[in-house]
Amino acid sequence: MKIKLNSNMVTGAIFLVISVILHVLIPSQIKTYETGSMTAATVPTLLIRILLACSVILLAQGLLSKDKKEYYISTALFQKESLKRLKPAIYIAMLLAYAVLMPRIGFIIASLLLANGILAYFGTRKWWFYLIASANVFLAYFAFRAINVTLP
Amino acid sequence: MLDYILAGLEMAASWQSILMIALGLLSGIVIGAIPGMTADIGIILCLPLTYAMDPIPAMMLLLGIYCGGTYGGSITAILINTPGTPANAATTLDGYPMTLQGKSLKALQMALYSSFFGGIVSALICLFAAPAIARVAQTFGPPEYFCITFFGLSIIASISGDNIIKGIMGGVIGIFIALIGQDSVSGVIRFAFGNRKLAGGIPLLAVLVGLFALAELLSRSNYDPKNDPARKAKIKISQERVTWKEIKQCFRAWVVSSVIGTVVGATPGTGGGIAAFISYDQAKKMSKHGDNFGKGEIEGVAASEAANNATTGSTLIPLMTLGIPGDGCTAILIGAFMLQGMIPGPALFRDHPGTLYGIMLGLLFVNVLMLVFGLALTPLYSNISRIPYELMSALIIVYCIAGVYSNEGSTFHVLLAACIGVASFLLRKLGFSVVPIILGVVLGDLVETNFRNSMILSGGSLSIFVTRPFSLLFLLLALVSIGSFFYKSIKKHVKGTAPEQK
Repeated sequence: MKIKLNSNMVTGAIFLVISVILHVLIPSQIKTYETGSMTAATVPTLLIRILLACSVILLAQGLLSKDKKEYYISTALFQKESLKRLKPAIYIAMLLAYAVLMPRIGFIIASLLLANGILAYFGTRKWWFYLIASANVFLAYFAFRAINVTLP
Repeated sequence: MLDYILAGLEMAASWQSILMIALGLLSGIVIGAIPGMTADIGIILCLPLTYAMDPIPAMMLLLGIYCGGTYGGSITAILINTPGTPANAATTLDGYPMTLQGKSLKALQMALYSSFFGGIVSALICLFAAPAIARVAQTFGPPEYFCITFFGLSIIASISGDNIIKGIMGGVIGIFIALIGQDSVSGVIRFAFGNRKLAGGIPLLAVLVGLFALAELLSRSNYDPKNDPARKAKIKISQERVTWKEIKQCFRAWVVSSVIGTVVGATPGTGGGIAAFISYDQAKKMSKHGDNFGKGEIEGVAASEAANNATTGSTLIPLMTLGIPGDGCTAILIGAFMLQGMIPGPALFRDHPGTLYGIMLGLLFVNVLMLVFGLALTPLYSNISRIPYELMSALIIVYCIAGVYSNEGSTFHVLLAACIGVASFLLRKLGFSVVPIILGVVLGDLVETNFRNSMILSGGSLSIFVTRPFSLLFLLLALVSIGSFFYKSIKKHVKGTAPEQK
């Protein structure tokens, strides 16, 4: 299947959905009993409406623009070359896993895993890079302790 | 004023301040000299270390990184034709040809002297201009404050790149982030999604680390160590030094570029890169050796480096007097002021005059020490670009996360920073600039509070913003800022279509 897209179309569509959802959520997320023209909900409502208007303009800009890239949706997406483009997703997954795991396994173990994981991600073969990175995790832990911050 | 200057001098000359300036400069020059790393990341990395410090040593550390980073970028611009920061792009035009001609030390020394000259001129202008502006600004009320913050947000137009709609959306997202949590006027919780931890709002440090540092690291996740030209480059420094004759030759370029850099820096929405190119162009027009520009002319290096460092002091003028950040880096510095309990804006000079004079005088020391370190350590710094990025990446991420945790001792904030980092990375992929977002974050609360207070004062009438002279002035400035963007866009469009019409 062939589709034609550009970044304005994608951005417009994504933010259109987000701003509609946020607009629907306003009454449940801002429970104010204020009366008058200015309440706690006034500015957030205005902002969400601006976001909504911008999304529509961006979507229209994207649809009217001739500058579009063609994308083919097929099994080729799962081939080696296409998967290479998804490499940053591994980095993102490592970062999010680190943030989730840190409260459970502690700063030192989580950071050792992340720092060495990043070096492995970049294909580093020099062992002393791993040593420096690991030593720095301990250094960070004790440096912050020195300023009265105990990391988890 | 003299009393404040003497008190400020005493604080700025304390051993703690000097030590922090030295540390800030040493790390700032290193960070600036690594292509792809900017002073922004350096400041964010060191922000957590400043919590336990007094305001002046804390700001000296960060200003040392800011000034050192701006100068440090010239080293790789001259030696390997890769500007360490965007502000040093103009330096490559003549700096690198000088290296090819075997005059690398001469170019590096001229960059250092020019940076020092520009930095000192800018710091002196900041010292005398900022208090005068602040005196006027202290008479402002909520309508003026609102119009100032609106003017601050209007610079989004000039930093949005080609698509102003994405710039506006970025600003709106930033303000929205700032409004999450408890409303400061009514106490109502907004968009916390039932999460008690979000009721206190999203901490500024988590936003800064996510938006700048983590997103930058994610953006470079496709980095290939085997194909990095900076690491392959052979760096050899010549022995030919700058002569007195060359210093005299460049003096006029220094003066003109420092003035241009100071004026450009004090104008929100610009930056060192623009100042350097304008000054380079002016120096080329004024020089007797104009034809030699771009081929290794020492005046070219002098003009661009004096100009970009001349922005470092003047960007502090709108920041300290009006609370308007001129660019991403100064938006982070606003965050640093806030973390020290000082809210940048007209009230700052009234509430913390001694501290501010200390900071402005400290900026002079920063530039003097930058000259000393530069002279002593230039050959050493020239090898910085060989520091492996993959190792830097692993270290930065650990220190950033530790910094976010240290802010309030919350692992939830670490998760927030990681999520903001991922979202910021995706927004960059969609063509967004992060600067409008951070402007929205730092100005969001001020915009809302002052708008609401103005409406209460006027009984709901918007006319309050046009009936008071200063609020009208800032509204007009905002309109000029937005109008100039559209004027430039139309001019560019007309220029682009002109050949087709022929």
